Amino acid sequence: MKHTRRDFLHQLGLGCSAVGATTLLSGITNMGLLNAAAAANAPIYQSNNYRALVCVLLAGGNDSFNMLVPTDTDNYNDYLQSRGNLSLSNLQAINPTNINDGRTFGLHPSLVKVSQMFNKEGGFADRNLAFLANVGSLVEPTSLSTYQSNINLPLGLFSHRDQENHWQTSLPQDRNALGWGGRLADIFYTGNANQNISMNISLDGQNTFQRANNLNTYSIQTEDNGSISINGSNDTGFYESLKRQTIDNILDQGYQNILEKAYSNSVIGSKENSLEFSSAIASGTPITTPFEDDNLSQRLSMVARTIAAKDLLGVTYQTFFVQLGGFDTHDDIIARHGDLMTNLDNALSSFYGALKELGMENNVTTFTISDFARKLVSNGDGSDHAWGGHTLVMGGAVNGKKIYGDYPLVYLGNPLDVGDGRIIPTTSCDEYFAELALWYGASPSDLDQILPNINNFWTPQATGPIGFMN
Amino acid sequence: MKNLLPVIFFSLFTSYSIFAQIYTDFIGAGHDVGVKITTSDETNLDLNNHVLTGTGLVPDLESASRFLGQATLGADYNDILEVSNAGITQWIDNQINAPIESDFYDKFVETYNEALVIIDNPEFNFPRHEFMMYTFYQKLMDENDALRQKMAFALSQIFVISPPNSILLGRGFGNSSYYDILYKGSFGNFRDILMNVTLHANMGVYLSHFSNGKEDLGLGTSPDENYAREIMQLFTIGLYQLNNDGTPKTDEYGELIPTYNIKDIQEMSRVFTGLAGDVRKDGLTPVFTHYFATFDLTLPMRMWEEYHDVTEKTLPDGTVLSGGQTGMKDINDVVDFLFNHPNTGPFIGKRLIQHFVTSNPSEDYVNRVATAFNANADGVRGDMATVIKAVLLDPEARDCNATNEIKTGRLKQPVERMINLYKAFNVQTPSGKFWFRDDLELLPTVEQSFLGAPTVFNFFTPFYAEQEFVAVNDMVSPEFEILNSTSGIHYINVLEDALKRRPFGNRTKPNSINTGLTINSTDQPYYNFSDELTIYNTLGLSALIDRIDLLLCHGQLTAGTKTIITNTINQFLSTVNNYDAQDVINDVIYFIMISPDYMIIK
Repeated sequence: MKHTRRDFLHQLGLGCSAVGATTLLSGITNMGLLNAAAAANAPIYQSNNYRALVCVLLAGGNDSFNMLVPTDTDNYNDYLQSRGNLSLSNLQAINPTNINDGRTFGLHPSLVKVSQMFNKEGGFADRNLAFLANVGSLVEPTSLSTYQSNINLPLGLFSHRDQENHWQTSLPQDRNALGWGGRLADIFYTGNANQNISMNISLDGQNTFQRANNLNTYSIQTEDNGSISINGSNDTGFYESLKRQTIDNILDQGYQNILEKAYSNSVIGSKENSLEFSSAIASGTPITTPFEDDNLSQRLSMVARTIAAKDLLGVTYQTFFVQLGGFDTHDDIIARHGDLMTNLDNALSSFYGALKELGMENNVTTFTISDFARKLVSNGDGSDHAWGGHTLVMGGAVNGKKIYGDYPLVYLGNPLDVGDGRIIPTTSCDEYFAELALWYGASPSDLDQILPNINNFWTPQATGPIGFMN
Repeated sequence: MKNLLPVIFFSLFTSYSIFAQIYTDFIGAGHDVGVKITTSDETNLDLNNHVLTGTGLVPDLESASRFLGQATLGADYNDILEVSNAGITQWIDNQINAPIESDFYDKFVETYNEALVIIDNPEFNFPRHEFMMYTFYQKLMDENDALRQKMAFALSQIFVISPPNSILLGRGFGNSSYYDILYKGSFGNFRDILMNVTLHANMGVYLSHFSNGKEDLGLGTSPDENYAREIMQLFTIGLYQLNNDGTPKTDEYGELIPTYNIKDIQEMSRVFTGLAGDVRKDGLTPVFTHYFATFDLTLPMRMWEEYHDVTEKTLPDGTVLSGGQTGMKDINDVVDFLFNHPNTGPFIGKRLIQHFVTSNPSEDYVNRVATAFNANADGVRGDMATVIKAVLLDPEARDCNATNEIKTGRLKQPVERMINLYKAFNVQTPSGKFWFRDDLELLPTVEQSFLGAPTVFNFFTPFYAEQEFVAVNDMVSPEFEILNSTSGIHYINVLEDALKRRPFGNRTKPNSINTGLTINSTDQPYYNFSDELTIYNTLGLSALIDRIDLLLCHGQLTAGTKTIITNTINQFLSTVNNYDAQDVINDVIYFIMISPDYMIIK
C-alpha cells in the first residue's frame, strides 16, 4: 500500500479499517520505542525522538585509499610502492584514540575541516566524526580463496551500476532489491504524524537507497524552497484554479496501462505535496551557518532547512539521499579527487554547523557510501574500479575520533588483494548499516527485514556490531 | 477574411475529400486499418504485402501519426500525409536511401563560423558545446531525414559521450565528428559504428583509453580498464549471456551466466593500449602522451605500437590473440569478437526497440529484431537498415491491438516532448536559426539535453523500473528514472512557458561583453498555428481537439480526456475575459501534452 493523503485520512478516520490496522500494527510491532496510540492518532512533535539518516553517495568510486592513508613508516612505504604516481604527501594528521599499535594515519590534504572535526580541534571540540576502514559489499565473509573459487560473491563486482546499487540495497546477490533505506522506511513511516510527504527525501531524484514498498521517494531541489509547484499554484482565480483541477481530473481517470498509471501517480503525488513542503521550508527555523556554492554544499543546506522545518512538516523520521558525482577518476585523478575532497570538506563542515545551530546534531547521522574504492595500482594518471574502501560517519551520536574496522595492509599481493590492489572488504555493508539502523530506532528483530544478509556476519542484538554509534 | 478559408482548406487537404469522416473512429487509437505494410523478404517477417482490412481516411492518418511518433522525434501534418500516401515501408526506404543533406560536422563548422561573426571578437574562437546544440536543433528543424536523426539520437544514448560532464565540453570539432559516426552510420553496419566509436579520439578521452599505455613495471602502472569494461557492458554484449530473444541464459543451477569476469576485463584492457592522437593541430611532432587537446580530434586515434601491450591475450570465449601481433590487429580481433557475439543482436536490438517503440517488448519481438541483426537478406550481420526496419515494421510495433495491451508503450523522453511540440506546429524564427541551449533550459528542469547525460550510463538505464506499478509487474520503465517529484512538475511549467511565453530562447545575439551568445528577443521563435486556428474557427472545439490529438497524441486521446478538456475550455470561454482562439489552442495542447494519453506513446 502506498501512502497518500487520502490513505492517511482514511486510516485516521476509520481507525481500524482492515488495511490501515494491519499496516499500523506491523509498524508498531517493529517500533520498540513508539507508543502505539501515539503512532496511530497523535502527532509526535518532540524533537528528541527525531531521527534522520543522511546518505551521501560519492558516486563513481571514491579513491578512499587516498582519503584515509596509513602514515607510519612501514605502511606508508607500502603505500608509496603500491600507489606509485598516485601517492599523496602533506597529509592531514589525525589522532585516532583507538589505534595504539604504532600505526598512524592521515587524511587527504584537502580534508582540512574534516581532520579538525575528527581530532576535535580548531573550534570543533564538540564534533564527532569517525572513519570505517575497508567496508564493502559482501554476501558473506569472503577470503582470497573463496573469492578465487567464486563462492557467493556480489553480482557484477567492479562494475559501477552493480556496486553502486549494492551499497544501497545491501543485497549484492539481487539486482532487483529495494533499498535498505527503503526497507527501514517501510517499518518507520507510520511513525510520522503527517503522511502527506514521504519520509524519504532525495536531493538527487530517483535512487536505490530509498526504494521502498510502502512509500515513494519525494524529490526536492536546492532552488526556491525545495519543491517545485505548477505555475500559478498560489493563484486562486478562476482560470488557474480550473487549470489545476483539470490536470487533476485528467491524471485521476484510473488508467489501466501500467506506464500511464505510474506516470499519473508520480505527478499527482508531486502536485499534492509541493505547496505544503515549500511553505514549511519557507517558515522553518532560519539557518545562518554559511554554505559554499558547490553542489554538495547546496544540497546539504537544503537538507538542513528541511530538518529545520520538521515540526511544520510533522515528521519524526526522515532519510535523505544526497549525491556528489565525479569520483570515476580513471584519469587526472590527483586534481579531480582533490577538488571533490575540498567539496566534501566544506559541505560536511557547514552541515554539521547548521545542525548544531538547530540543536539537532544528536538526531542526525550523516554517512558516506561509494561504489567502490579504486585500485591501489595506477593506470597512468588515474585508477580503476576496486572493492573495499573507507567511509566516513558524522554526527553528535557518533563515537568520534576513531577509525573502526580493520585498515588493511596496502602492499600489492597482500592476503586481501585480489589483484592490482583491489582489496576484499573485511567489514560488510550490512554491519555498517545495522549500526545505523539500530541507532535510528530499529529493534534487533527488525534487522532481518532491513538487512537480510546480516546474519551471515553478526547475530542481531541491541548493541551494534561495530560500536561507532553511541 | 472568410473568403480565404476554402483556399486554405484546399491546400491543407489536397489529397483527401474533407472532414466528414474524421471523427467517427478516434477512440482507442492507433488503428491501422487501411495502412499498407509491405516488407521485403530479408527481414523474415510474416507481414509481406499484408494490408490490414478496413477503410477510411482518419484511421490511416492516425496510424501514420503513431508510426511517426515511434520513428521520429516529431512530425507535422504534412509528414503524416506523406507517410499515409507513401506507406510505411516505402517511407522508411525513402528515409534510408535519401542522401544526407549535411554532415553533422560540416553543419557544426558552419554554425560555429556564423556564431563567430555574430560574437565579433577576435579573442573568441572556442568551439564550445553550445554550438553542438544549435547544430542539432538546426538540422532537426531544417532537414528531412527524421528517421536518421531519431536513430542517431537513440544511438547517442547507447554510445554515450557527455561534453557537459567531461573535459570534452569545449571540443566541438571532435564532438561533432563523433556524432557523425552515429548520424552518418545510422543505416550502415554495426561493426563500423563499433570500430569508429572505439577509435574516435573523443571516446578515447571520455572513457580514458586515449594515451593508455601498457603496463609499466617501473612506474607501477597497469592499463586503464574503463573502455575494456564499457565496450562490453554497455555497447555490445551486456553482463549476462542472452538467448536470441533477449532473455538471460541460465546454467544447470538456474543461475545467470556472466559474459565476462574481472580477468577478462584485465585481458581486454591490454588490448586497448597504445591508442593516442595522430596529428597535432599545430603541426608539431606528436608524442604519445601529449595532451589530447593538442591533437586534431576529428581524426581517428593512431596505434602507437611501442605503447601497445604485445603479450598474448585471452578473450572471454577462450580465443587467444597471439603475442606479437600488431595493436590494430588486436583491436580488430576484439571488435570482431564483440560484433559476432550472440548477445550483440538481442542486446542492441532490444535497446533500439525501447527507444523507438516500447519499453517491454515481447520475447518474440526481440527475437525477430535480433534475427534481423544476425543476418540481412544477403546474410550480412549488423546491417542497421535491416535492424531498424525490423524494429518499426514488427507486428508488435504496427498492430493496433498492441495499444490496448496494459504493458505496452514507453514514456516519451523530455527532449522528445519538446521537439514534438516544435515540429507539430512548425516553429520558425525570423533569422531561420534554431539556436537553442537545452543544457540551460531543459537539463536543469526536466533532466535531459542533447548529449548531456550525467555518465556513460546515460540519463537512465534500460533496466530501471518504477517501483509501485512497474517493478511489481516485472516490467521496466527506463525513462522513469528521470521522472520524479521535481522533474515531473518542471515539465508542466516548461511546457506552459513554451506555449505561452516562447518556444525557446533563440541565442542569436552577442552577449554584452562579446564572449558568447545570448537570447535575442528580436529573433524569437514562434509557432504556426494557422491550420489550427482555421479548424477551430470553422469547425469548433471538438475538431480542434481531434486535430491536436492527431498531431501529438496519434489519435490515442481517450474519450474521457477529451470530455474533460472540452468541459474546461468551454468554461474558460464562458467565464474568462478575452479568452480567445489562441488561448484555446494553447490550453488544448497544454492539457493533451500533460495527459498520460500523450506521455506514454503506445
